[in-house]
Order: sequence, then structure tokens, then C-alpha cells
Amino acid sequence: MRTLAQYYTDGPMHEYTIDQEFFLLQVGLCSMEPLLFITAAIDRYELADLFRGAIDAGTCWEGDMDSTVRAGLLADFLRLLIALVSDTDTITGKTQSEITRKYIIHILALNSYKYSSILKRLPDRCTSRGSIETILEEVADFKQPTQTTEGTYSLKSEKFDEVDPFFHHYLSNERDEARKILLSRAIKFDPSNKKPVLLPRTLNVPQAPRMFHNIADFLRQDVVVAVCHYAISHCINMGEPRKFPGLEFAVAMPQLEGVFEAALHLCMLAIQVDARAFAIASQRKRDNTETSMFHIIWYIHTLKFEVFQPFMPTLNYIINSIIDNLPEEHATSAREAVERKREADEAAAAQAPENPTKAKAAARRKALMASLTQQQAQFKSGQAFRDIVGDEIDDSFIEDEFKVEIHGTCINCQDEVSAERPGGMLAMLQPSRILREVANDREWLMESVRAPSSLDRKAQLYRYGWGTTGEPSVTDGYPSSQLRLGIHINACGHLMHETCLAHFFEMTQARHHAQLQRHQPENAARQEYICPLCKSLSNVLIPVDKTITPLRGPLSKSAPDGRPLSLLNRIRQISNEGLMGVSDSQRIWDHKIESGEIVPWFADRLPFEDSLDPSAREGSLKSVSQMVDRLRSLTKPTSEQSVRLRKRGQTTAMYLPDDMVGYVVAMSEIAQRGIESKGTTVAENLNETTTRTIQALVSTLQLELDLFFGPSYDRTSLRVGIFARFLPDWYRATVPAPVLSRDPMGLVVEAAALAPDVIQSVIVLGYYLELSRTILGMATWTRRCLQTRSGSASRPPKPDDPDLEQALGVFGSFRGVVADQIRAAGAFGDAETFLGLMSDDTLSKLLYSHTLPFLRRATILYYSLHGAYPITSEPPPGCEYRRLLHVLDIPDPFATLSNTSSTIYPIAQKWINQWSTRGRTTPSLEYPGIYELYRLPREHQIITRLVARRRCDKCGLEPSVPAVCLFCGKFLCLGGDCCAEGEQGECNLHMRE
Amino acid sequence: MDAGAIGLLCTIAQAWYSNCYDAAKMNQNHIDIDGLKSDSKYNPDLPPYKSKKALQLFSWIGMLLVHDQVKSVVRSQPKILNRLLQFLNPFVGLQPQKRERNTHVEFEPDFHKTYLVMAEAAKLCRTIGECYAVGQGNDTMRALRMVKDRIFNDIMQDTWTLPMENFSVPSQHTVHNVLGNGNECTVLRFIVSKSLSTSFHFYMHFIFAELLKGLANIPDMNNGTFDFSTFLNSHLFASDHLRPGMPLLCLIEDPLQSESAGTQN
Repeated sequence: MRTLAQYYTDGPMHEYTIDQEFFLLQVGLCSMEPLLFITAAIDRYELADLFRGAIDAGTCWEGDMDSTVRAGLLADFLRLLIALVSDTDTITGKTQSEITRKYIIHILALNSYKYSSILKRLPDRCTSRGSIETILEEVADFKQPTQTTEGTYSLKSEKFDEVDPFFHHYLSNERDEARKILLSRAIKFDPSNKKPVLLPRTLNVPQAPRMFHNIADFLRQDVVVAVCHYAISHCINMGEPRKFPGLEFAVAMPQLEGVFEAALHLCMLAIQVDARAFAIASQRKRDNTETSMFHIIWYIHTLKFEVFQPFMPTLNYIINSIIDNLPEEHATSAREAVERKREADEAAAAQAPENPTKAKAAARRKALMASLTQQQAQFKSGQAFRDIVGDEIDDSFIEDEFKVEIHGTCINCQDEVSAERPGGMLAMLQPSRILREVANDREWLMESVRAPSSLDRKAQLYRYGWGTTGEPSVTDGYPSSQLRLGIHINACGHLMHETCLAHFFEMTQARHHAQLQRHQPENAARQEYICPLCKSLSNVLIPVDKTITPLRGPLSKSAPDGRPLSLLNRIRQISNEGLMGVSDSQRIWDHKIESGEIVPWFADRLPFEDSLDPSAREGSLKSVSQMVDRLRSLTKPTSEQSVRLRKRGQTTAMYLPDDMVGYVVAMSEIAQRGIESKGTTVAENLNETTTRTIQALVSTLQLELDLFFGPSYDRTSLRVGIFARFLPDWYRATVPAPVLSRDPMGLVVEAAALAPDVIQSVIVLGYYLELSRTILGMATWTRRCLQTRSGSASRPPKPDDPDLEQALGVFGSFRGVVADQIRAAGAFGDAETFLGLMSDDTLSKLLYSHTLPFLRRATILYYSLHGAYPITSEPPPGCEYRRLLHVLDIPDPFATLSNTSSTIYPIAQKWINQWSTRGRTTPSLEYPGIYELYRLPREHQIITRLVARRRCDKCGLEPSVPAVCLFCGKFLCLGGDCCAEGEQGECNLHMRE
Repeated sequence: MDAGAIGLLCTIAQAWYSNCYDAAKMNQNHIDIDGLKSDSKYNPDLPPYKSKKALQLFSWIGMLLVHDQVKSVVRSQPKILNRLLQFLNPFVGLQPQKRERNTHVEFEPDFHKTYLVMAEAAKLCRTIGECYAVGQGNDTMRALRMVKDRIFNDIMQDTWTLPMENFSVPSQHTVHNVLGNGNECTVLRFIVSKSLSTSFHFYMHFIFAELLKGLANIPDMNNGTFDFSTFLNSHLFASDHLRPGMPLLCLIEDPLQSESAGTQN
């Protein structure tokens, strides 16, 4: 019945069904005695007992009906009364266009929507009787689409004044959302008024003598005050549920906030229609008691319970309206009371601390320091740690850390998601093979050379393949053998509590069991579920809570000029920290494998395996551990089932900082290539959902460490270990596996999770590591590509690249540096032979193009986590590379690597030496250009002609329906049985390859 | 033009939903157009409700009615409206749910059978009512009376439309002391949470609502000489031998049930 009612009232047919009946109710309200109409409605809602005497006795809650249902009915009844006088479009004879406009305003007030989404939300007649484009132009601003996002409409600022949170067709969560949006806007426009009142919109009632002119007459009568009197009376005990008089008949006091909100709104409507009549009626004592509605409102107004605080501005407004409109002889005592209250408030304000927030923060800081002291006592070098860490902790950072942060609203239960009730983002985790490693082909090398100098400028290329426009046919599609496997996570941005998801997933499973014959959109065996709000396919919940371990902020210690600490000083600081905080230098390598990866972050390990503190999974981290377990239950099989697809060699399992977080950051960066950046860098182009996903993923890594090590584990050795990894021979006589075998972005992600305060220095080290890797990788790759006899194919002229000259200048004199490194590596024979294969421009452009993605990704990661750049001053105009070097505060590569006394120079030399003596695994390079799908001919008939007689490579037959993979260009049989295996056709099989 | 085209479409659709869609049976002798027989009520458990084949007929009738000339004919020829009402009336009060008493199952979720029909039939109702958005007040008044008669005939169980095993003739009861000591109001007796007759299929109400909207468009009704309440109580409902105020209570009863049913169940 509930589902049927929902279809009936909220579905697309409501304008033909429930709206017609709603109009008949308005007819009834205009034609009947208001008391009779309202009593009939009360009786039909089965609420008669709640609207007559004996409210204190609690017997009004007696009966078969659950008290929660009854409270919901009471709120619905009040909302019906509000709607009957507020939603007057029909009785005022509004045109269809005006009605459509109202719908659109109320839809866009909640969110920005693309055109098709607006159409879906509109009733049938709004779209079938004319275009909505004119209305959209009037009420909404259009945000142009990009390559990755669709164009959306958002409501114009001034149109928010027309939004009514009690819009008849809003669902309860939409009503709450609209109210929050309007309140936040009111505060934004008048910051001095922290508690604005959302007054009801002016009632639009037909003028007399038109029909239905008396629709709002009941608001002038005593009956509406009586309704509000009883409704508000039931809410008195909201702050003290134990005193709820109906406890004898109910398990607990029902939620009455909705009732209270609707009753106050009804009061404001009555005040709007006839404030004087309302004021006088509010003084009337009811049911032979000494209590009037004003008494009740006043009593609630004096209560200090948190639950009433959001309603205080409205209560103040109603009380003031009553007092202002009462006759002089009645208002004396009330006015005195208001005056006394005002004086009391002023006195309380004078006695209160200057800033309660600061006082709370001070108390929290004190508690934190006590906690830290206690933890330090557990370490042998506790006092030394205190000396180092204690001074650095930023007060404001501590305040931020210990503030109960509310991440958003659970889309299931509408409660807030916070550390007290943990939840996460609904997201889809799946293996991905989109990231491209360089292809060993001369033409693809030339594609790298021709990549745009600034990837954050508009650089869309419309190129056609199959040799029809002069592009080399080998570059039509990227070779599928050169794709890197990773884990991609795509979040829809909606939040849900972990407990709510568990319940929701159980319901999904139950639905699957109940409907065995139906093709379900999700596969419950793979933990999949559908986002209840946007219907996105999801399978994990990414925790949004932060680590419980106190971490220092990114700029907790900076140079006197406000810039980040120089690399040299940072290394010294970390070295001191290690000396003072790590009793045994061998501890730096605890819980790490030879190449430096941290054991708990490998995908093949479950967090509860070998946990150092199993008790950490209980208590406050219980929900978090369940979310992490859910994520791990997918990453582990993904890692195990994809061993054959990986090329890592050093490890057999996926490493989450590299293969999950780093991969997601990389995909975000790649998706933005060739798209004009609106801000300083590409990082500002990312949408909020992507940014939050990256934040949540880094937090997940932190929480995994919390679960593995427990909250009391000293992380100093891990912090120091980050730098120890970059600085060969720092703490260990025998060098571990070469750091050049590691993905620098993975090291930056590790730093972001372990020590966000040093991430800028790690980015600097990571950049030079990436540069060294690029030189070594190029030495192998360019030989393979260029040492062939054939020359490069002719190509159409390259599009204009205004930043090319400046880009070539970044590595303009780098031939000598490259030669030095190649010689030091000792694995590539004669350096001159390698360098002789290419010109200075080609060399510098290749170095430029292959290291630019790292800078873009590091910027994205830093900006996503901290919302700012290490350097806040305006970067120099010009190519993207220079701008990114500036905002990340990375010293110029040529000046650094050609200067033997620079900090980096000896470090980079040691990396090369370490690599030459340990393994010599050639670092892999990524394709640096803009990713394109398989290029097709410009004209469709060419495809038809060329594939007409072509035979499938696999079965040797002419496919009845030929197909081409748009990712790699493979020719496939579509829908035929010839190449199918079981129920899967060749296209599906190819996708799995 | 007469009721021919619309009548034929109504007959075909009525035959379909009466489970008389066999070509041999499809004549008016087999179809109880006037709803005079006890088995004339449409039965959503029958096979026609499992397919969408006849839904197009609703659209076709609706498409005929959107043209101004057709609207004019409908207004001037009450028999066309009557034929449309004959077709739609048996859909009123469809009750696809089965409420299992004394078990934990309250309702069986079989509403899908009638969901599609509801969408199309309700849309057609509004289109029918819109024929009277312009025109003479007398036409609208006549139409209102026709629809009103059907509503009250159904409610008072003078027809077979609302099955007697679930629906009963409305009775009244007096509610005391609600919203203040001494208040007394006589309202219809009905308990939604325990009712067996909750339905959302009130097509005559939908048409009635649309006709009332059309009434508001007539200039004479808005010049101050016309009192809407008096019109309803003294003119439109005057011939019904019910207590004063009772017809309006009956009129708002189904809308009130619909509003409250969703939350209660």
C-alpha cells in the first residue's frame, strides 16, 4: 500500500490524480465550515485523541497505531493544511507556463541539473505542452558542458526568493534540504544575523469576489490557533523524552521535530493573514485549563534544550508578533516578560566568555596535550618527542582536528554523517586498464613529442583515422598490450551511514532472493548495490572520517618568509626527529618490504590479519573497520585475479597507494588533459565529488593504519621512513631495492597519508625521482623506437602551440645533465649514441612531456587535500610546467641538477648508483599526450566499404555484424556465435582481455 | 459528428477490460455498458490487465478530445460525456490489493496490475474535464450533475461499482470535543487503518474536479453574484436526499483517504 501510495502521490501521474483530489479538498475548505472540514480531516487521519484535552495524561497516544506512525500523521496533517492555503496555483487559475516555472524553480533550488534530469522531474503536462527552454533562460544559469561533464542548469540567485520549503511536491528530505539552502543563503546575505527566520511566502489567494477567495479564511479563525495549540503542546517534551506522557503506550517518544516545524509555520501563516486575530486567539485558555497557546510557546522559548535551538528564531518571531498585536490591556505582562528576557540575555552575554568557541577549543587543546603526554610516556624517548612535536602543533590545527566534523547527510536516514555516526561515500570500485604506458613505436614517440605543452589549455584535436587524413594508421588506436592495470574508484558523491548501508544491502539481497527470475541491475554476489538517490552502481563505502591519530597540518612549520621549509632544512628536521624519536634505526624498516612499501597497504592483506592492536577494531573504529573490510573484500580478489596482467615484478600484490589512490589521481588528471583550466592549475578544474573522493581515499589509507597499528602506535619511524626511502644509505649500510623502481606518485600518496606536513618536500623529491626515472626510461625506449631504419611517417601540421618555445626552454640545456646520468647508470653503453638519436628540442620536449603528468597529479593531490597550493602567490604566465613548478615550490631542474652543491644533486646521483648496483629494472614511462579513442574515418561509408569483406581474425569468417573496439581498434564479431564462449560474445571477451 | 468514433473506441476498450475482447463477443450485447449487472465491475485479476495492448485506446480517445471542435461537440451533446462516463465508471474503486486479515501480511503488492491503467484513465479524465474549460455555464452545470450523480450513486451503493464486500454505505458519527471542549461535528465514519476499501481509483472525482476548475473560468461565476458554497449546497447537491453538509463530506472523503492512506499503511 505504501508503494502504491507513493506512486500515486509522487509519481509522474500526480497531476492527474492526487492533484485533482487536492483541489477537491480546497473546494471543501472553501465551501464548508472550517471547524467541520478540519475535524473531518483530523478524524480521517485518526488524530482526534491528539486534539482534545488530557494531553498531559498521555492517554491520547493509546491505541493500536504505533506512536511513530501517529506522529508522522500529525506532521502530514499539518503540512496538508499548509499546502491547502499555500499551493493555490489551481484556484488562482495559473497558466501551465506559470506552473511549470514554479516546478522548475523548486527543482533547481535543490541542485543543479542537466536538461534531461529536469525533464524527468517535471510532471507530464509541463513538458508535453510546450518547450521549457524559455522558462529555463529566465530562471536558470547554464553552465557549459566540458568533455567530462554535461551542461547543467542552476537557479539564478534572485529566484531563490520564490522557493517555498513547504512546496507541496517536495519529499521530506527535499523539504529539509530546501530549508537548509535558504537558511544558508539568508546567513550569507546578512552575516550579522546568524539566526534568520524563514518567513512563509506571501499567500496568493484569489481576490473577492472571485471563486475560492475565502480559501485562507480559516487562518483568521480560532480553529487554526486551536490546531497549533494542540500540536505544539505535544512537542513540549522534545528535549526530555523521558517525560513524554505517552511512554506508557509507546516504546519511546516519537520524533516530533516535523510536527513542531509545521505547527510553527502554520502559526506564521496565520500571523501573515491576520496577526491581531491570531494574537488574541493565542491568549485564549483551552480545555478549562490555565494554559493558552502563548503560554506554551513562551515556555518552550525559555527551555535550553539543544533540540529547540533551531526553532528559536521562529519562536521569537511568533512571540514578538503576538505581543506587538495584542491590545495594550492584554499585553502588559507579556511585554514585561519579553523585556525581562531581553535583559537576562544581555546580562548572560556579558558574563559569558568572550568567545565560547575559543573556550571549547582551549579545553580540547588541553585534553589533547594531556593525551599526548600520556602517549609519550609509553615511549622511551617520550620527552624528546614532546620537545619536537609539542612545539610544532598548530593551535588552529588542533581545533580543526577535534571539532566534530559533519560530512553531510545520509541519503538513507537523513541523519548527519560524522565521527559519532560514521559513514562513507557510495562508490564503485573496479579494475581498470586505461592508463597507457609508452608504446615501443617511432610513431607513438612522435605523438609524445607532439603532445601539447600546456595540457590545461584547450587542445582538442579532431583527428580521423584509417589513413584518410594523413595521420599514421598505427596511431589510430593505442596498443592494448601497453595498458597498466589499476583499481579505479568512481563515487557518486552521496553519503550513507555504514549501518544504513548494511541494512540497505540486506534489502537488496532480499529483493534478489524474492525475485529470482528478474534481471537485477546489480550483482549482490559482487557486493554491488544501487545508490538509492542517483541510481549509480556502487559496491563500496569509502570512509569519510579522518584518522584518529593526530597529524600535523601541511604548513605547521614553514620558513620565516611563509614559504615551505627548504628541502635541506626539512631533511635536517626529519633527521632530528628520527634521532630523537626512533630508538633503533632498524625500526624505520619495520612493516615494510625491501622496496619500501608499507605492509598493511598491500591489497592481499586484510586489516585484521597480524594487526598489532586487534582491540582497535572495536569501539569507535568498528564502523570504519567494516567499511574498510568491505573495500578490502574487493581489492584482494581483484589483486589476486589480475596477477598475470601486472608488470610490476617486484611485488605480487597490488599496493593501494600506487594502484588505487595513485591510479584514481592519475585518471582524474588524464580526464582533464586538453581542457581549459578555469583557475591557476588543473587541480581547480576537478569537480567537488572527485576532490572528496581523493580526500576520502587518503583518509582510508590512514584509517587502515589505525586499524593495523592501533591508535597508540608511534608513527615517527614511519614518518622518518619516507625520507629514508628517498635518501639511500641514510640509515642502512646495505641499500634496499632501488628507489627508482618505485612510482614517485605512490611515495607522495604515502606521505599524504602518513605525514601531510612534509608532503611538499616529498613532492620535490618525487619530482626529481620522476625526472631520473624518465631519463633512464627514455634511454631504453628511444633506442627501441628510433634505431630502426624507417623514418617517421609524414603527418598533418601540428596545431598551434603558443607555449612551445617556453616549454623547450625548461630543459633547453639539459643534454649534458642527461649524458651524466646515463653514464653514471652504466647500463646503456655509449651515452652519445643515445643522445645522437634526437635533437635537443626533441630531448627537451620528451623530458618535458613525460614529467608534466607527475606535476599535474601532485598538484591535484595537494590541492584536493588542503584546498590551496604550497605557494599562494600568482604564478608567472606561460607554460603549465613553469606554473606548476612555481605553485609547488620546486626549484628549477636545470639549475638544480647542474649545480653539484645543490641539495638534490648528490641525492639524485645516489639514486642512479643504487639503481646501477641493484637490479637495473628499466622504469616504465607513461604516454603523456591527450587520450583519444580509436580514430575512425571521417565518412561512414569508408568504414562500410573497408570492412565489407573483412574476415574476423579469430574465426576467419565474415561477421554478420562487424564491430571495432573503440579503445584499441580490434576487429570483432558482434552478436555472432562464432567467437562466443558460453553466453559471452567476442566483444565481452575482448573487454576482459 | 456524434458519439460514433468516441463511442466505438470506448466500446472496444470496455470490451477489452471486461474480458470480452473476443471479436465474436465484442458487441454491445455482451458488454454491460450501463453497469447494471453485478458482474459489470472490471476485475484486475483478469488477463487484460496483464498487457498494455489496450492502453493506446485511452490515448486515442484523449487525442480526439483535445481539438476545439470536438470539445464543442462534447459540450453540446451530453450523450458523448455519458458514454465516456459509462466507460470510465467501472474503473472506480479498483482494489488490486488483498488485505489478509489475522496474518502478518496486510496487503499483497498487486497494484502493478492497475498502475498503468490508472495513469492512462486519470489522464483521460482530466482531458474530458478540460472540454468544459471554455463554453457556457449551463453545459458545465449539466456535466457536473451527471458526474455528481455517478459519484453519489456509487457511494450510496446504488450501483455495482463499489463491491459491497469491501465498501459500505457511508454512515455518520459525531466527534466530540475536538479542538476545544464543547465542539461537536458530525462526520463520516471511516477508519483508514482498518479499512478494506482503500483505493486510489476515483475517476469520477477527477472529472468532477476538472469540471469545477472550468466553472471558475466562467465570468459570471466571478462577478460577486455567485456564491460557490451556496451553489454547491443548494443547487448542485440539493436533489440528493442527504442531510445538509453530507454531500460535501462525501465529496472530500475519498481525497482525504488518499492523503492519509500513504502514511498509515
